[in-house]
Amino acid sequence: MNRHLKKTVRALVCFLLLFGLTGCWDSRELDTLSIVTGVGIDASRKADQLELTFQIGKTEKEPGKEASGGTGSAFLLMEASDPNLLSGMETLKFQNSRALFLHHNQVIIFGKDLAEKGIKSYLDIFMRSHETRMEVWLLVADGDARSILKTETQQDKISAVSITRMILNQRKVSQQTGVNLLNFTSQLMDKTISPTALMIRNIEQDGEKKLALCGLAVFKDDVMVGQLDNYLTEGFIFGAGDVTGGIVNITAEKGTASLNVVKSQCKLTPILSGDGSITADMKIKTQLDIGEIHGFQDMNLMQVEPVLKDYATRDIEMKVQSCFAETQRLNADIYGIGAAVHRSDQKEWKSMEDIWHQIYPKIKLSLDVQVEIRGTGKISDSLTMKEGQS
Amino acid sequence: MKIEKGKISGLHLMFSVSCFLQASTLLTSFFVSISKRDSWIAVLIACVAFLPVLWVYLRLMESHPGKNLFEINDAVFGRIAGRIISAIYTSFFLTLTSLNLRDMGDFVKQTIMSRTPYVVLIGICMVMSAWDVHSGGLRQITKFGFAFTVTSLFIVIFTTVQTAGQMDLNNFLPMFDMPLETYAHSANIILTIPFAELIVFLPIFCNMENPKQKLRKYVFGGFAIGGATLLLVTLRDTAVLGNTMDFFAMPAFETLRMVSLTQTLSRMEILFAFILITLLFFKITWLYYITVISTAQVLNFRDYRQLVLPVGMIVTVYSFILYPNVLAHIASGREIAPLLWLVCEVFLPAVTLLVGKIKKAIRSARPSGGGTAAPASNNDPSF
Repeated sequence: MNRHLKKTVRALVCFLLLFGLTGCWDSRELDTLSIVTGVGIDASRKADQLELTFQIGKTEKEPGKEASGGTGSAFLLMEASDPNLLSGMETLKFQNSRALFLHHNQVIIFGKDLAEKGIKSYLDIFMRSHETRMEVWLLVADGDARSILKTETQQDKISAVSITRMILNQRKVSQQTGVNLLNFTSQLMDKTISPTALMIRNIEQDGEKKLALCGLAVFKDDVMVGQLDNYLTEGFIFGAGDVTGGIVNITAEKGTASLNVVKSQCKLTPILSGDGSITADMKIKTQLDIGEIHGFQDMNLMQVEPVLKDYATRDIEMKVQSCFAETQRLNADIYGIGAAVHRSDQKEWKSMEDIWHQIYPKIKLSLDVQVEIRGTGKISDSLTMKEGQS
Repeated sequence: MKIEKGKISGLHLMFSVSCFLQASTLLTSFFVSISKRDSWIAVLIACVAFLPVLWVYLRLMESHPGKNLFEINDAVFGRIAGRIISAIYTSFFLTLTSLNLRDMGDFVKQTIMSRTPYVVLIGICMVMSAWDVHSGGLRQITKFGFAFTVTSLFIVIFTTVQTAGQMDLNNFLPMFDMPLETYAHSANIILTIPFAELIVFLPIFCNMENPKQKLRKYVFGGFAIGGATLLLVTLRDTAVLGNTMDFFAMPAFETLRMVSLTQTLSRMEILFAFILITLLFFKITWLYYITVISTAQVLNFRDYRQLVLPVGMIVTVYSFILYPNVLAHIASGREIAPLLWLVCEVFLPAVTLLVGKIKKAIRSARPSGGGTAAPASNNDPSF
């Protein structure tokens, strides 16, 4: 009798444990979720209100049904206006048969108007919530975020996914451009570094709307103070770290050429001199491949190479210098020179930290660009060059 | 009288020690929020600072061969005082069990199953642990140590490799930038919260097979594995998260969220959840088991199995009422526990060792009758 009882109790315990293992309380079925792919946050005309846009990816159509249904877009937008993000999401619950699911959110886009007012307080929810990740991309729309999310892109139907791919392509050129929430917060927490974020805008070609990345938004603390266009952005990435892609275009007297950037490294060392002035010493080493050559008649490659080198050096110098000058005008230390001083000289730094905004515009730039041309591609002399030689 | 008669091998003991330490290495926010990017220095300081404590533990065991912590207390302080001290230890073990149970419940509730009632999460864990303690006992529990240690080491190394692309070594600079007391405070937390919790092994050190020679070797080996894991986790989190690290309640969890080698090899935090729950289960079961045998020893029970259910119930309820919320838990972990626990973890064993030595010295001095009480402790024949 006793043994039977024991066995029964054991079996019962095992059986009851099974129920616990399913995690039924937190079950979420795919067809009850609205999978958010992008979040747009804009300033509203009303004071203290936010215009929130959530882009929700639709699941793929079932293959058989394609003919019957119309060609709807691959996503839908849900909008709310509310002073807070979370309560805005809460109001959407009343309009939606499914729950918003933020785990797969790809991008957070701030409208330019809002970015110019400051965005610090809106980041909290994205860090606090258990549904969100720090690897989500942060962008500023040149205009309003809603219209960016609304754009139907061609190849990747969901624009947030398309933006993500664009950013990943950019990051193959330089890690400095694509900024995710972790990078942004990390820069924000360092008092002197000015955070940056990629900017994106709508362009229209042949009546079709497209998206294009257009440089960097520069923040001072959490307030957007300026904008670097694509040219200045190139200058920034050359001066800020490693570059592993992109092109340097040069126009010489006798012809033009495009050079592929194979690899470019920048070493930035702040030099403190006795009188309190700081020189930012940038040493840039760039390796280029010849990508395309026009002109240069009567010359062979041996003669062209020093010309290309010379012009490429000047081109990179130009870009870096104009970008640096622009950041000094904005008084925004996007290179993290302050942080570099902090790393190298902690004692001096204590006196500088609070007045860094006075110091930064006075920093002198000493630039040293070394260009090396490595490869020539599959051919050496170009057709136009051959013409002259014969 | 011995409550636990089973013997375990040295290797099992070693892996139990390392597994026990690893269970705490994943919850690093207590000290990371204080010493920030220099946390790894604090870990190293704590490792060094723990060595003398470990020496006290081992010395205590070696100077009373074949006796467990409670028998030593009885022998050194006499029956009544010894029991009182044993009871203090027991209540400490009970608190530790509840705390870890609470940690586990909080973790699962906050990260994976936010709507599941707390009591279900904790209840299931306790039922499993109770079963393990009741039917398995010492030998069964320690057998898991090896598998858990290796799994968690593998996951830690694997994820370190995966996050290598996101690491920025500049995150470690500038070093030594904080006031000294920050390091002391942080090292103190690391010393008391994961490391010196090894005191829970004192009741069973005597259950090791031929303990004379190898006890030191195995315990130190276990500590080395656990300490190295903690160091590796701290270094990895600092390199990946940088100055944002001290924001998060669980830096390691957030680090693994950053993993994305390709689109397919991402979302690795489930590995962390998996290993954390496994390790915490081991730790809770171990603490539970130690609490049960301590209670049995203090209350003179012959068979500790009778106490499994009552102690389990107390632990479960205790874990509910320990702290009103997470904030209080963190505050206590930072401010109160590191000092209060030192009493049980360092002060009491040290006093026990000292009193034992003095008594022995007096005893050995008395028969010879000489007024010069020889400091006989070092050439004592018992070790």
